[in-house]
Amino acid sequence: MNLNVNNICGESDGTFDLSSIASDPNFVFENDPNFEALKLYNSEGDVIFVNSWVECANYVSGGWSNNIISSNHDELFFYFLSSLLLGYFLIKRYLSKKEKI
Amino acid sequence: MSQYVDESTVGYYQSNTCKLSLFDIQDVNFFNNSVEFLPDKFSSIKCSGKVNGVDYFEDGIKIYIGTNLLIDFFIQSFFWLVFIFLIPKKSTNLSENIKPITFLIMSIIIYLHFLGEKNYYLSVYPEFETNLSFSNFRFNSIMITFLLLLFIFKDLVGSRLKNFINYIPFLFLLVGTYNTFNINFFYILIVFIGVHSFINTKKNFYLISSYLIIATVYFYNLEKIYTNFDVDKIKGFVNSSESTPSLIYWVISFYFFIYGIMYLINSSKKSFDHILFRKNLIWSGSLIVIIGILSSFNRILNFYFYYYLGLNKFGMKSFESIQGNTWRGLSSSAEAVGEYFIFIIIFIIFSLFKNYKNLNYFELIGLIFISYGIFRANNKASLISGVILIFIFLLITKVSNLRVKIFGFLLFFTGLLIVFQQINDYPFGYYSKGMLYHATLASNIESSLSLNQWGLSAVDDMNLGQIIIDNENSKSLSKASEFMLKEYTLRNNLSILPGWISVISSISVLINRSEKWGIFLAKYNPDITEFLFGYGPGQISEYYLGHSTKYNDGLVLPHSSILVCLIFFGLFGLLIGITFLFRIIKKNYKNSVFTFLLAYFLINLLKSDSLLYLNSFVLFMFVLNYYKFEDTQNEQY
Repeated sequence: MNLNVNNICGESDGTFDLSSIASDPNFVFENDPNFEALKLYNSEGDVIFVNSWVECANYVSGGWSNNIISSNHDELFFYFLSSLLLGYFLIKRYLSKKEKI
Repeated sequence: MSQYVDESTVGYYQSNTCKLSLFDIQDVNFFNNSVEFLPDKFSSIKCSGKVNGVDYFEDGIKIYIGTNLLIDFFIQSFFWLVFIFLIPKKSTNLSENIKPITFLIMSIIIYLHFLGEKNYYLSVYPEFETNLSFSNFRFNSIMITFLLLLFIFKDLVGSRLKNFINYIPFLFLLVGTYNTFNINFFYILIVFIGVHSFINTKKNFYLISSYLIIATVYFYNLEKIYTNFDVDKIKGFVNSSESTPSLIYWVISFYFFIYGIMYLINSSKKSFDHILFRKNLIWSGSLIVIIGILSSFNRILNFYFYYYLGLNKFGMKSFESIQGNTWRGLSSSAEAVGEYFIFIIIFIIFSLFKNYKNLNYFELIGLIFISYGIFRANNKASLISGVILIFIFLLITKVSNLRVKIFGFLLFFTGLLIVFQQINDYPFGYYSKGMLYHATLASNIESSLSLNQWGLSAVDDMNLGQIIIDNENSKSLSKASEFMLKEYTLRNNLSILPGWISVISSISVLINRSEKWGIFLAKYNPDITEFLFGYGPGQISEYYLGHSTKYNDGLVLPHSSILVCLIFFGLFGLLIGITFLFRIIKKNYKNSVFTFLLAYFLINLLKSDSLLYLNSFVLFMFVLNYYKFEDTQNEQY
């Protein structure tokens, strides 16, 4: 078993064949009420909730992690967009003041 | 490709997270009421608005729609700004006077909020940082968007400021609470107006210095814990933390908030339009009911209304009543919305008796919806108080014969007593100590209680004296409970007249508040300075979490705005408030509409938490200052 799986999802009592889940695109993960829901992140910043050990193990095996692996590109874009808009307003205001003078 | 969401397609959606948008799936799932749409507040920008997870639960399927802090802030703010843009302009332009320092102060205030309530945001984004380094794009974007929002608002507010007062009713429809922030859009805008007016008007140094002195006591009382109090349905109007920066934020912003409201009211004295206000009350009231019904019938609309109206809590997802035939619809509190609906009716009746223009057909249809809202909100106390006040109003203003007046009063109150006697069938002893019984029931004192020969504890027996004895060692009761129990058992029964605790308890039983006020007593555990001066505006977490009771999860509020004021401002603040109220009433009691509207509010504030909701608070401030508008109306009509 992947060491990451144990670290992130905890130890499991049973043995599960995760490859059978991966090969079935319509597999439905059943929620385990005893499993505390976890948030997992992938390298693209996507987030999912897992509600059972099997679900958690499946995603962790697929490269998901409980630490955010964030890509700052989107936020950087947002930062420039908001700065640009604010700059536009400030310049517009400055020019309208200048016109009045 | 989107598919109908059911048990068989959950796997498909679980394997395709962040690929399909809400728009994609709504086409085939618009009438699918077996699913529930919830926001996934942790989403990245890329996955915002997309299906980020689907889970199958016993009670149905939950679909998580990605919502991102930055995107939410941007979309929600600009959507709400459009509504401000729709408010018709009035002539005066104010925007020229807003100085750059106003923006600087606002930036500091907003920064303090994020700094102080960081734990709230960390629960949404584990990486949330408040440092102002260049690479902290997320936080920089938030601060810049705030400034952008204020700049746009400044351009919109100038010519509309004097018309805002006429559109207050829409605050009950467009609540304005952000999905991911513990901030209310309108709170920030009013604070902004407050800062502007503070800078431009003559300052009352006595008031400022008094407030500052009291504020130092709040800091003295502060426990300095970076908690993350679950603000739930009062999101945006209370502090989620107990940190110094968050307290500074609430102390300063609340001061400017009051300043802003007063500025709005005082500058609108001549532009207040009674007929327009009445029309807006009817529109907002009927839209709350209509949208509430739509929202309860359709899960996708339920999600959209939550998001775009900025609701503190999702609207009801079913048309079924809960808790004693109550249906809150779109509102986060059935009690608050019930109060508002009845306020609308009272206002209309008063306006008709003041011979203002009659209602048109649309308004009459709106009244049918509002009446339905009153029926479903099931706020009996508001309804009874409304009926009583309308009856008294009619007796005073329309009946000139003194004998008929007295007969009317006697007949009415005798009828009322009979009704009360019929609906309350508790044993006599329960009235005087029902509230204390519930206080002991809510306290964690079982382990300290001894059992009698039948295995019953002093709480089961309502033996308050024994509870005091049992509590001596464990000290598990809150200070408020302990004080009240001692006051009741050691002093009360020697007097011929009923003691003050018995009177309060009897009232609480009569108005069905003995349990809620009992829980308040079980929780309220202040030391002497906290009791005298309170914890500060918006500071509820110390009251709620400071003393362990059986009600530490969920949000059980005190159900009395007077008790809320006691928590926030202490006995001293409460007495100042009451004195201030008496002064206003004494000066303006001849203005019957003002007096009765205020009386309605005060009666209801005794038994409801309305002041914890921004819209109800603003409406209360409006009513408190209504005498200022009424004079103008008399001149006009």
